[in-house]
Amino acid sequence: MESDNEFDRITVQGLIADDAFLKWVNQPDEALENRWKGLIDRHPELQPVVDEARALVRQLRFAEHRAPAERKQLVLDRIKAAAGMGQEERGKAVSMRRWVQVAASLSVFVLAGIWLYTRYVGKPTGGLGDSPQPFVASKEGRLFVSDGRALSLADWGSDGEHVLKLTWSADRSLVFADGPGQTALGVDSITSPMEAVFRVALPDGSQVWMNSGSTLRLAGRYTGARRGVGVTGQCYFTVAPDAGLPFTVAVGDREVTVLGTQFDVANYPDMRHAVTLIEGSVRLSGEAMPPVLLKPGQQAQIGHDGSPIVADVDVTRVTAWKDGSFAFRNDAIEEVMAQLARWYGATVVYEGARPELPISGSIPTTLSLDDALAILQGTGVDAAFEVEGKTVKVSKLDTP
Amino acid sequence: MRILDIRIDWTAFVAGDERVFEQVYNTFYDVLYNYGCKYTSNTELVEDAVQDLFVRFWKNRATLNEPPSLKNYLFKAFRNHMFDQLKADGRYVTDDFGDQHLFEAVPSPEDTHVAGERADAMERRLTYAMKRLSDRQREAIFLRFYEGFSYVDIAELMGITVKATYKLMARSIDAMRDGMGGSVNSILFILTGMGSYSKK
Repeated sequence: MESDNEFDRITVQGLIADDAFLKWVNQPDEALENRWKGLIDRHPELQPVVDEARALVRQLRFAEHRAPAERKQLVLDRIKAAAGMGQEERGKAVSMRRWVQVAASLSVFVLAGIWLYTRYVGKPTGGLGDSPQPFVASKEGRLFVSDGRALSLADWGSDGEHVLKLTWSADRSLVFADGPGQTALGVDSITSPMEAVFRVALPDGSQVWMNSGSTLRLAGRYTGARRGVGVTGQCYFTVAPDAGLPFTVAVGDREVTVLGTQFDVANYPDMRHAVTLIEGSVRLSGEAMPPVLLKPGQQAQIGHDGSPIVADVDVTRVTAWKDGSFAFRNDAIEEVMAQLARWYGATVVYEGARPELPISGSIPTTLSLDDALAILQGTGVDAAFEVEGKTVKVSKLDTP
Repeated sequence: MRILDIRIDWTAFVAGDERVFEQVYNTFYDVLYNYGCKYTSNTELVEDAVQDLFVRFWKNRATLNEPPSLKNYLFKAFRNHMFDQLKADGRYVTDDFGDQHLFEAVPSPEDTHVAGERADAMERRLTYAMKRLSDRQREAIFLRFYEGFSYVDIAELMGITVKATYKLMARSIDAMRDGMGGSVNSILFILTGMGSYSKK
């Protein structure tokens, strides 16, 4: 609002977009007051518009969350301790040298490691196993070791294959050692990198393929006495037979017990948990449900209550991600977009009517998100995509 | 609670002056905490995110260029970090938050004396209109109305184009005006009748 002669363009929308207007409403001072009141005095016809915009801004209150003063001080103290303020930083830096070398090539990642490390020092660690994990999603993946540190999985493996080999320590706890002679670090959990399939080789010969951004929890579960893991995201398992030591996977509040087999577990918050058996035998059990035995080629979908729904599925499609592709067969747009969103870490927004045509086909996961969408588009779907950063807007295309 | 931006002695900050750091912390802790609580009811997670942000801010200071706006810089870094955390926690998967109370509008006690029941009714309608917005729309409204960010700032903060921000805001404002029905106008003469635009 630089001059009065702009008044004929004044709308509620325009006023709210005007910084001088907003400042007048929120933090009025004499100059602003005079200016706006003067404007309205000279152009009384603007009054309703100004009033409506003003009322909207003024009347809308947001819930206010106030931090208690002592928490504010406490957090400041923790920051100072973590950042090594008010003291020499040397000692800390030296003690971290070893894993700094492990952690990474990029200084950003190293720093990320440092603040994760310091963040959990001094906090009670609680019990092993089911205690909440210090999850931090990251493009490059994270290996959480038993003392609370987070190591970057960037540049892990070679030739495009990302493999993390774990071994037993002398006392049969799960550790990893980055080469001969290196100190073995206890393994807590692993969050796999985005847009990649990450493989974990367990010391008993079992292997886990982790889909983009998935988490495998091992602490306290995988020991000499039991073989258990917790899964968030999607993992494909090949389990080494060991009749004396069943392999169990916790999926929500259900357990999957396995005897030498290959199967896929998907545990995403936005869909039913799904366990798909490729080979061997799998038993599903949980509270308040009869145990269910799966046959190869079957998938059990587990809701939050009731018995799992078991159906025959096309296993190559369920496990296509492991071999580097998205595979769709008469899938709804929501299913397709959900898969892309998980892999690329993208957010999907639907605008207006939703596309209706079923989608079939496969797309290599090595493509960029833009290219994957371009291919989808090219198959004649009735959808239009608009990508802004990590957000994909989906709308219905009327003339595919 | 509205915090304008502040300018700090950047050279002293980079040189390691902890007083400057504390000045930044004390200025922005409350607003960032409030902002973080819009995404989750887990206050510990919010505190941790604030902590991480400031630890990084201190540790990286030597390699940082002075941001044109400290507030924009901190909000953006904080928002990204919050999203990472929530996503890792599986709590931020799609745009659809479901049952949430995020960026929730609440009645404003200081204005209710204005027109008694009519103000209440208006606020109820406004609150209801807000509930029907998408989370991104609510967030944009929050950043604009409450934190006073410019549209360009909001675009930068939310990682969308300025054009998209205008679109997002326009839709949100339209939806709110629709939701309000005629009540905005009916209450206005009372507001203006008060003669004062000052505000606590």
